[in-house]
Amino acid sequence: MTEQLLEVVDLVKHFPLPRNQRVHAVDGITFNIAAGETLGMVGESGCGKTTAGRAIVRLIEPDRGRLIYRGQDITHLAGAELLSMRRRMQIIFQDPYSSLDPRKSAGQLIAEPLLIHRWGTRGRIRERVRELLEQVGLTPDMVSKYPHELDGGRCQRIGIARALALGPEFIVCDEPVSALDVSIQAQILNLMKDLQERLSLTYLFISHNLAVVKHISDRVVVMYLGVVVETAPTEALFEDPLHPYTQALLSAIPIPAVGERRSRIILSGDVPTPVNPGPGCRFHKRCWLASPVCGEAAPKMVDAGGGHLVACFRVSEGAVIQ
Amino acid sequence: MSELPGRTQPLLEIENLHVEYRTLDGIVKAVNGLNLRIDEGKALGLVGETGAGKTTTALAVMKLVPTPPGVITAGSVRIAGREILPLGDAEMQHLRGNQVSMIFQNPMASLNPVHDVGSQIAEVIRLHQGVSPREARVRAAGMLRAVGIPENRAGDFPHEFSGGMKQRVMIAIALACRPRLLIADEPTTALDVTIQAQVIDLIKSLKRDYSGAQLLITHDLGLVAEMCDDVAVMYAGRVVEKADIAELFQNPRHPYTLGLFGSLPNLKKSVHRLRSIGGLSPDPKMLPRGCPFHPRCAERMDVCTERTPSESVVGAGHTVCCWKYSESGGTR
Repeated sequence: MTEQLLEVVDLVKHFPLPRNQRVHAVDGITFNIAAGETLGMVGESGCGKTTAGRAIVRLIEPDRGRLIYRGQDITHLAGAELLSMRRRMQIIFQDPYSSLDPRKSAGQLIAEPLLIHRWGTRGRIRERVRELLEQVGLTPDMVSKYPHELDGGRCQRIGIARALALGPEFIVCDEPVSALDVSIQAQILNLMKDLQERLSLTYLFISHNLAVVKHISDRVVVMYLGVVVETAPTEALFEDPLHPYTQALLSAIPIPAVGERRSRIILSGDVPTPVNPGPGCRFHKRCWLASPVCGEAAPKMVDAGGGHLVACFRVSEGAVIQ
Repeated sequence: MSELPGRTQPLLEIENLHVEYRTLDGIVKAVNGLNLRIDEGKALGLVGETGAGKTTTALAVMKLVPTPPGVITAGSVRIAGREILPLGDAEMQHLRGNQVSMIFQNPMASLNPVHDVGSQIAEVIRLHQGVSPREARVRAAGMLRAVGIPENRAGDFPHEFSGGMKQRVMIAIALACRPRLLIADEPTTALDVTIQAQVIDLIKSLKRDYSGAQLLITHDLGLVAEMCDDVAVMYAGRVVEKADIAELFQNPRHPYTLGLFGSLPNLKKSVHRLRSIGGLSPDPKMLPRGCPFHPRCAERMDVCTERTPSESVVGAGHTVCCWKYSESGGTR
């Protein structure tokens, strides 16, 4: 096995609401990311994927749980130590327009992380910015352009250049292509794959688009309402999904091909709210296979073999408990 | 347009439509000579990327292009054989709702937050069908039931519904007067996949009972395969390729259509790199000479930079606007 880059252990992040209510945005998630791999994270809006991604790079403080980066506990790093950690882990945001300061030019935007981290002299920074522009496929004349002069694809390239500036080894990509048209999306996905190979990067790739996640990921984590319901190598997850939610999610994707009639699972009801969820499996109210036990206790993650983990009582009855 | 034998009468027929927005920054040529027809009982998917002119086309069919700055400069739009572009506001008002209706992209922004949903549905019925308020209210409750919302929620306000439920309300409003043509502009883009599946299912099941033909505007080729009979691919304000879905998905011809398919990550087979299209969609204020796709086209020829290609027939009901096919298929 390859070396684990990051271990996320029982990570919890709740947001308080008035009247003693709490949004259980991330409610105890555990998974590993191996060095050099792309771990996809899928789920619908409100399932906690963005909160998880931000907590992992310590942009928001987790309430509980541990983050182990190359064997070092980084959950409570602060000050200079946190700052130096940030050189190694970066994030690319969803909306390339609103995540860039409109008053800064592309050059200033890309230089910003370098200046904050006192990366080098002005001359060296200027050279590094030029190098980064080229790496993300932008021409040198873009250096003086402002975000409003650029299209979404180019803005996202600037976002990627900013993330790459300090030479990180791990990048959380939070829906990096969701705001882009398909032809531009394909350009950015190709770019991200090329950069990963060239710079041996590790990605946590968060997206609601299953086709995109399948394309780019080695392994996938499926989240539902703040918890991980299934983790598996990409092939296994798409060929043989075990959790009913994953099955429904996969069957719901419209496939751009004709003549492929699939049996569809259409879930009734909406995604329930993550405010004070009751006991039991988070999915049991929409699950067509639920039995009484599903409403009483939360199923534990079990290993179904080959690194395929699933949290569902139907599977755990016949499987080896980890 | 070529008249094929055995086809029913078109419910929507658009010919040579031109729409532009006259802004302070220049003239935005949103739709440039668009031809389209939808037969009774069919669903047509209009596919394209941001800025291709899909929504402007839909607004032109509703005569809702915001004026100023928008102007329909040329062309003809016929609904059930009747030319609508010269019609006045009162006549259009009567046509909307009864003949043609539209579901907008963002249900959160399209419902009035200060009225309950029952009265928003009833309003449409009252305005377009001239029935009494009481009767309209009864019919509105029936529409809610038809889209799977319990009648007793008619008194609830939009903020009390989830995104998927709000889109159901929008569908109820659009179908309340049983229009013959339903236009759906990205009806599921703002929704999650599992909710999208519910809404697709609903629109498909209502098609039989409520409306004769549908125009589905989307950027998602998967949705088109799921919901439509025919497809038209739009680029820079024109339809560059159209065919029935089986033909288009198995045998795409236009380099842009091929590029779109190549850009899509495939759930069935894995590829290392996507075959993306280089470059960007053209700025509609400065459309290139010749074929608008030529700056991004890998198969560009000299003629492409000079003259705009017209429609060539490449198969039964399959037309392409591309110089590559202009001799072999025979021009119009």
